[in-house]
Amino acid sequence: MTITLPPVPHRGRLTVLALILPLAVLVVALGVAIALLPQLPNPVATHWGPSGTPDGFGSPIETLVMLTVIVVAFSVGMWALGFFLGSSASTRRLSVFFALWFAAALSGLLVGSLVMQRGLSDASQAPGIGLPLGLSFGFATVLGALAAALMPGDAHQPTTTPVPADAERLPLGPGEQVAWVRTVEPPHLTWLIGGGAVLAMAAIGLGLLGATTVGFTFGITMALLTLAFSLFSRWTVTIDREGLRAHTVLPRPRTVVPLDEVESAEVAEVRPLPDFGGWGYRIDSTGRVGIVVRAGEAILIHRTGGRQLLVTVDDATTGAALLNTLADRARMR
Amino acid sequence: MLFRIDPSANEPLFAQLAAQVRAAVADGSLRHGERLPAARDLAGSLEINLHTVLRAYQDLRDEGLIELRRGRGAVITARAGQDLAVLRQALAAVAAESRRLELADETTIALLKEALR
Repeated sequence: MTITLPPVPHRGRLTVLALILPLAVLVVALGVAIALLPQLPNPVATHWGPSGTPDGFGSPIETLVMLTVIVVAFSVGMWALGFFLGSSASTRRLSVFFALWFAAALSGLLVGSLVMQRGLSDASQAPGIGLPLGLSFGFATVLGALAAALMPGDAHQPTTTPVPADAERLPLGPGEQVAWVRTVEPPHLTWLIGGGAVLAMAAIGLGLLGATTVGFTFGITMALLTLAFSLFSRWTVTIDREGLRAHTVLPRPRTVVPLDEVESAEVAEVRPLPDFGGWGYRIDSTGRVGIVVRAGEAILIHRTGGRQLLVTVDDATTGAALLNTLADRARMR
Repeated sequence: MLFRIDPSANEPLFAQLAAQVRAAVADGSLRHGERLPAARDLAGSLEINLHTVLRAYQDLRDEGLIELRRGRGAVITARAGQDLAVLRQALAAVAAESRRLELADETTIALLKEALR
C-alpha cells in the first residue's frame, strides 16, 4: 500500500531554516568549545543536580561528540517532519521552531557551562548552571520564534468545486444568520489545574522554608507547567460566515479555515494516543493536523491543498453539517 | 450551541437570541456553569449589532438564567438548570385538553397568561 502525501510548499526555505541554520548554530558552538579546550579541566562537569552543584562529569571531547549526535539527529528529524508532512503552515513553522530551539538551547547551554569552567583545575568547583540555562533557553526561544516567523504561511487556496451532495447538511432559511460556538476541555480540567497549583505551592513553600532548593526548583517548574496547561488546554471552536476558528483562552495560537477552503466536513472519532501520539496541537504520520483536547468525536475538515484538520469537539455532527451548508452558501456568492 | 437568527422574521433579533438560549437551557444542552460566547464575538459572527446581543443577555440575566460578570462573560446559573419535568407534564396536559376542546392556540395562551398573573 502506498500513501500519497499532500504537496508541501516552501521546501527550500524550510531546509535552510530547519536544517542548515540549526547545524550552523552547532558548528559555531563546536568552534567556540574547541577554542576553549586548553583552558578547561578534564573531566569537565556535564550534569548538575537539582540543588545546583555539578554531579556528573565527562571528557570534554566525548561531551562535544554527544552534543553533535543529539543535535544532528533532532534537526534531521524535525526537518524531515516539515519536509514530508508540512502541507499545513503550522507544521512547517513548528518544525522550524523546534529544530532551531533545540540546537540553540543545547549548544548554548554547553558553551555556557564550558565558559564557566575556564581556568578551573577541578570541575567539581564549577558554579551553578542557572545563568547559562536561562540565557540559552531564552536565546533559543527568541531565535526559534524569529525563524518560524520567516517561514511563509499557506497561500489562500480557494475552491469552487461544490461540496459533495452526500455530505451532511443543516437546513437553513435563505436569510438566516448562524453561529455555532462550543468550548472543549480535557476531562477533570479543574481538578488537574487545582492539583498542579497545590503541588506547586507546597513545593515552593518547602523551598522557602529553607528545606531544599530542590523543592523550590520543582515548585517553580510545576507552577509554570500548570499555568501553561490552564492557558492552552481549553479550546473554543466557532463556525460562522467566515469559516471555522479554533483558539485557546488567549487569542493566539489559533487555527482558521475560511469557507472557500473547505472541500467538505464530516464527523470522525479521535483516539489521541494511537492516532496522534498524544494530546494537544498534533500532527499525525500523514500530515493531518489535530487539535486533540480529548478522546471521542471530532470535526474532520477536508481542506484544499490536500490538507486535513481534526478538531475534537462535542456535537461535531451539528458543526460538520453547518460547515458544509455554509460552504455551499459561500460557493453561491 | 447553535445560534440562528432570521432578520426577515417579525420577532426582534434580541428576542430570537434570548429564546434560543432559554430553549437550550430547558432541553439541557446548556448546563449550569457553561459560558455563552462573549457578546462582541457573537455579534461579529452573526453580523448583528453588539447592543442586540447585550440586550438579549440582559433579558436572560433579569430572568435569572445567566450571570453577567466582568471578564468572565455570561455564565449559566444553577437556577437555570432546575428540573422542569413536572411543569412539562402539566403543560402537556394543558395542550392535550386544549386540543380536545378544539380551542384556538391564542385562547389557550391567553388563559395561561391570565393564570400566570
